[in-house]
Amino acid sequence: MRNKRATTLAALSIGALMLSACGSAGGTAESPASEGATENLATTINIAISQAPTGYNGNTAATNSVYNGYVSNLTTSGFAAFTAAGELEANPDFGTYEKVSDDPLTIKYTIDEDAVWSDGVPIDYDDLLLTWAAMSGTNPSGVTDPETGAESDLFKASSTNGFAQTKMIEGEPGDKEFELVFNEPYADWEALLTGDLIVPAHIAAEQGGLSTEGDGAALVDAIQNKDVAALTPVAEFWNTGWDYEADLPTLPDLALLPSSGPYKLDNATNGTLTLVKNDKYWGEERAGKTDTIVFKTIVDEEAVQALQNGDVDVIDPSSPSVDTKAALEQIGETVTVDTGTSLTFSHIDLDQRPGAVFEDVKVRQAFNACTPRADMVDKFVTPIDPEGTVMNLREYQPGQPDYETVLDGAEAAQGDGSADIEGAKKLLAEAGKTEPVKVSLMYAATSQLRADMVALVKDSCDKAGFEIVPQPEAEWSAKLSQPGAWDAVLFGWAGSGLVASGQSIYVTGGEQNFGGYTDPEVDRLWTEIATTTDADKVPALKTELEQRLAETQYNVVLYANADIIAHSSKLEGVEMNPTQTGITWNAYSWTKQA
Amino acid sequence: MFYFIAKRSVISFFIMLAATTLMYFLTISSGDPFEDLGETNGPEKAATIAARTEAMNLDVPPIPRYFLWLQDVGHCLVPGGISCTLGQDRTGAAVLPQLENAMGSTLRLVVVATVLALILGVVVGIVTAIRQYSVFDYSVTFLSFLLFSLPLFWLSTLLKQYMAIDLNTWLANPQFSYLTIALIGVIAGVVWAVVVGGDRRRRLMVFGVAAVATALALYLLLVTGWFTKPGFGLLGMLVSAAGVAVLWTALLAGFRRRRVLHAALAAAAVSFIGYLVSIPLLENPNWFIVLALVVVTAVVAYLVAGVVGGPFRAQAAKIGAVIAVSVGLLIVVDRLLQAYPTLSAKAGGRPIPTTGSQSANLAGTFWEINLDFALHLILPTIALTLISFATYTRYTRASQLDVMNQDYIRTARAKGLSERTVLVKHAFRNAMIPITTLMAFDFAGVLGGAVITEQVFGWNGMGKMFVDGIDHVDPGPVMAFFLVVGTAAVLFNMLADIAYAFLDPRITLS
Repeated sequence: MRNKRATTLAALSIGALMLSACGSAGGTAESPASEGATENLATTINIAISQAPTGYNGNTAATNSVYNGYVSNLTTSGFAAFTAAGELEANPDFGTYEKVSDDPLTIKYTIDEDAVWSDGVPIDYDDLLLTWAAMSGTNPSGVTDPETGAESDLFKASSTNGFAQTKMIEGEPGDKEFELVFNEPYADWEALLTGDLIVPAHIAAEQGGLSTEGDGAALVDAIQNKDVAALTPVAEFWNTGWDYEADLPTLPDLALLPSSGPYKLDNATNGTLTLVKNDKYWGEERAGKTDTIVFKTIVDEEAVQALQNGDVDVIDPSSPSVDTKAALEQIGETVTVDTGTSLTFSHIDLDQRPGAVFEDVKVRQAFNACTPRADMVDKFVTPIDPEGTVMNLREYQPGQPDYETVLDGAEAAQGDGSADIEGAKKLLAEAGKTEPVKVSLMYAATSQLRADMVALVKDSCDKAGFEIVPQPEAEWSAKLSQPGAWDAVLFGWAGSGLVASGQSIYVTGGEQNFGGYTDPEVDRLWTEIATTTDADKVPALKTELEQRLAETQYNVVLYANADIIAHSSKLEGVEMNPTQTGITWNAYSWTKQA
Repeated sequence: MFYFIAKRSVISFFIMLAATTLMYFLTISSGDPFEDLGETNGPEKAATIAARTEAMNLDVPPIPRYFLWLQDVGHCLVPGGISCTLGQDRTGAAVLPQLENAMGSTLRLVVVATVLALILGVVVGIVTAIRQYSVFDYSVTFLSFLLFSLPLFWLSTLLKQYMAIDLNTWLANPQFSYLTIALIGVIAGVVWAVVVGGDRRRRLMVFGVAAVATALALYLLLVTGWFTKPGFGLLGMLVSAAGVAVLWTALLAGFRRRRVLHAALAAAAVSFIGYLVSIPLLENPNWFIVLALVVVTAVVAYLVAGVVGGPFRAQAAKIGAVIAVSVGLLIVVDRLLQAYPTLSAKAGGRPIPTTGSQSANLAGTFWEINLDFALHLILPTIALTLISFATYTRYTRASQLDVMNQDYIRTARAKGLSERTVLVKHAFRNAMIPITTLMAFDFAGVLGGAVITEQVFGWNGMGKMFVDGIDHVDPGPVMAFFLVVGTAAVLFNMLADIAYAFLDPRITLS
């Protein structure tokens, strides 16, 4: 009886379900119009960054980070900036520059007549002079380190490279034109006054207790006359006064943070930073197109879902994996994915000091031959960036325009990167190695990717007569500079797009020449490159350099990391920039369909 | 009592001292503070290393470095003198302001989740204990073990996918096919049938009623466009107020005393009138106005219910106040729901975010801003609640079962007390004693934040501060975190012991 009733009920329910399968309820809502939109363009663009910005002045040793750079791309102006191709491009909005002399190297800069900070104060000589003073390391504090005896500088600059080689900028308060004179030729002079280097001198002077009357005459005076007492409070403010609180719970007083770029800082809450259009921005080329730009701090692993949900419009995950790409592509057409090569590349450095495993060039060549470079590209690069290739040069990455030209000229560097076991065996035999060559291969213990790469090397090179011993180290970066702590080490370098930044990696006794490589020809070429002030002459010199580095097998270069960015398909103008400048390099021109 | 506290405090101080020593050396030996610089070759590297060395005192050997840190803590304990910073992080910034911010957002995130888990867990735990070995009991046991063993990061990812991304898409144009509506009705029917229980006939009836009611309600909500313009409305509020009155009466007094029920309904009427009066007042209020209104309504309801309650004045008045506060809560929810359409438009039609603790640059009314907070809290709160819910149900169930088998419960039943009185007054109170310990631990844990949840949902709380500190091998933030969490653990433990002595007369402090 009961069973029968239950059956009837079930049958009825199923019948009802079948009937109801056709048709639906609800669904009459029209899509709500976004508030305040004009001409169907959204008023706000949200950008994801993986760490909160740490300070307004990104030129100190503590605040120099790419995340501050992402913001200052929009809130500051310089004479030039890196483009998507990794090349410098002049910024006519801010001013003009030209080389007026080669001996001594002299550059004439002219700041645009209308250039002002967003509080209305003109950008002129005192700003540039403060930058020079801070970045040149020429203001000893009078305090010496008891151990080293070295005297520290008043300004804790992130780097004095470049400005340390220049004379003090001559001029009068209020000048918009000035000349930068170098003591010795400097190859990267064009990259010197770029980015967020120029900070508002009138704010620093005011906070340091100096008068800002007469276009900053008091500060100019103090710097020109090396008045340590007057400069000390200014330098203290320059060092830490512009720092944000950790994780950016709020911004300091906005009056201290004027902008020289198309956008200015507006507010911050809990790691979310808002920029609004700078109403005092004078330029046309870089004038902002969208009213508000918001930076949201989101860890890389969560960025994809935030993009899918529309919480952010652009993401630029810092070390993307194949999974990142798969997740992004699954979202569908609401999101546009762009892949490319970054300037960061992986390589294996070899200890070649006298008596070390790789002292003999034949052994180094054998190791290069047995390393399955093409295999690594297939596993770690092409799944993300289908156009990724084996990297054959050391100073140029495949993403850069000059890569092909230089590679064509450097025959020794060419190759498809597939493992050549027989060739490696032969080279080892020529080197007189009869026993397996034991190689302790160090890498970062925290990285699964590095461990996978080492496994591939071991698999291949053990067949060729090496005996690879994986050596995972937590403190690998400290051990880099300890001779004998490793035979080979697998890690990455971040290319900068600069001409001479790699010098200390390759020259004899260089700070980052961890393997103890030495070659007089390479040393000579580097001296020439670092003092070449004509950018057009660099590729020829570097071709020679690459040829020599490949012949002497400085190290084993593997591949340039694949990079990935993704943005809402409503967004227009987003373009990947492989340099440290980052995704926001042209964010002033972005627009978003509402 | 005083002796007990003094003794515990002294012991606790030395425990903390020993613990900080251990923690400090574990932190500084957990890795390489310069690891992130390993792959940079720019000219900035040397300057960054120098700056970091100075900020973290890396040029000082570990043991003196620990004493330097202790000295920084000492500045905070000694009033006056050098300002209290709790040391520096690796960028040279003071840790104390960072700690204050982190605590603020952690409290906002975790308190709601803990309270929710507590209430839900205790209620479900008691019901499962009363209906031991029923289908409901087994289902809850299964569910709570399932939830307990879910990895938080995975649960969070699922929540983001279904409760934010998909739900937002659905909310843009809310509709269900009739088949889906029917299925939801059937599922609701099954759940209710299992929860209510009884014999087969009763279960079938519950199933039928619940299924039809759910499907019908869902259909009506969809057809009337409730999901695009939600709210209770006048009628909804009236029904809810009456419902709340009946519920609280059933729980706190039972229906044997008619006067109490009448008093409760009178209180509901007062609350409803309060609702009508408050409509213009609550257009764009602040928290003070809201609280004042709730208090005023509660007082009036207390008086009115007291008068109507007649011989049961005291009991009726209390129930009246409880009802007024509950309806006040409903009114707040109603107002928040009414703010939804405008807020949704401001959020670009995707109101539920997957990350962050508030929208940037949101200009709006009191209700819009608070709804925005609430929407940012939803996902992390669900994640945290689901997981700690499990512990609470299991503990409460065990504790309640333990109490239900005691002699005094049998005595109470033998006296002829109603089952409600036995359960609420005699069993529940005693069952709560062991839960106190659990609560003390949980609230100490609240201050520690939710390490994974904060990271996943983009909250800058204590958990994130701790994880970042460990990642950077930076003892400053890690130790600040540890000081707060350690002190809270020690303190709440002591409080639990004291509370025990008050709750259970068999225990004395000595």
